[in-house]
Amino acid sequence: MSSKALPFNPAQLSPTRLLTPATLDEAMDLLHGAAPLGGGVGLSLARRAGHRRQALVAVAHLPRLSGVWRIGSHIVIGAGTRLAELENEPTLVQAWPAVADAAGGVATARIRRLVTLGGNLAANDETHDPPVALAAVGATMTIRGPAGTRTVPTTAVGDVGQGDLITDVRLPAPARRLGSAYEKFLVRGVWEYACVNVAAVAELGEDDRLADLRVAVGSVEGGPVLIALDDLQGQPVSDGLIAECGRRSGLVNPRDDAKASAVYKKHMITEFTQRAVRTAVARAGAR
Amino acid sequence: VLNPPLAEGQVEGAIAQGLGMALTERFHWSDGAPTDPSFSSYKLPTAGFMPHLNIQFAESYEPTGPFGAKGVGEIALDPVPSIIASAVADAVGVRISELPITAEKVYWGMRAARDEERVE
Repeated sequence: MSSKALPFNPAQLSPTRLLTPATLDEAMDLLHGAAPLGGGVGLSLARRAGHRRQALVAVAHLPRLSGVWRIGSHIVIGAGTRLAELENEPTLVQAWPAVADAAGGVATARIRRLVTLGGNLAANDETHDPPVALAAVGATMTIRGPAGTRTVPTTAVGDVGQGDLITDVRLPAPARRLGSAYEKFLVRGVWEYACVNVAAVAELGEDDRLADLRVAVGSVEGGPVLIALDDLQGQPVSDGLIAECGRRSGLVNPRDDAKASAVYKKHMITEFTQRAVRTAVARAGAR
Repeated sequence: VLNPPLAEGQVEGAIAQGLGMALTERFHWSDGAPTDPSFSSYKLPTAGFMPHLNIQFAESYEPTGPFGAKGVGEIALDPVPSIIASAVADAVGVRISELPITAEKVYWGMRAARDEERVE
């Protein structure tokens, strides 16, 4: 087979420069003309599609960029933390199981040992799992850039530009009677992008009525999409209320693709929203 | 069986191909070219997808083969889709007659059956 069959001719490409800074400050200087390299999974897929970078700055190894710690009432996850380190992380599993499950639901174990949380978010890919859970949780991320440091919701990932680096992701401390859940529906059953993915967060008041309910739906146009449920707060949890959550989720716009038709996906979004809400409510009640 | 490990491997491979044909492998064309020219959207069965298989052979004498031998190849692929279609029909009462048998086709089949029941 001649190399012309490939989308690019490897012989004609200059090699990519790999820069390995020792500190975050050094990395920020290097990022002016280069792209950050976390686990390299997204960059490898892009390279196969013919998009090559001139220079990459390795960032996942930097001090203070990986691990899970607390600042005040927030749980902070370093953006260089690998997804495999999050799926069983005790603090996360206890406080926000939806986030741990979403991290653990990505691709295969081998890929999760590479992918960083920051890289997964920065890819701004509507089919990814962690951004859906983080959207429901109401997580924020710290972005360091040429103009300084800023904090934005993780759903504002489109604002990450050239020279910017996501340094951490922050989750609020969960309320006492709060539960969360993540549901991912796969058509093959193993190792693939979600056909449908939904995250739910439910908080119960002392009277067992809903104090808060948030649902985010992924793998849809403009996803993750937060579903408007504010008017349901204060109501007692019932089958009718859960069905209403599902109905509203089903109004989003999934895409026709090799996995399923958009019409079928809407039905499944309705179903998996109900499952996620039920689990989140059950977990809230058990706390 | 002249070479049991090789024969078992042939049958396991054929069943894997049959499962892919029956359940996951969809081939779409547009303007004469495949629309999913990569294994990220064209879904083959992977190790995580495969069930545990227990292969047993029935010895026979094939008069047209040398010394009664018979080749083992993709023959084990053939029955897999129809076995699964029958299993689905037995489980949920809907027979899917087009491959692959996806969750979506089963879902629409069950909806249609339910709607027919309601009309009656």
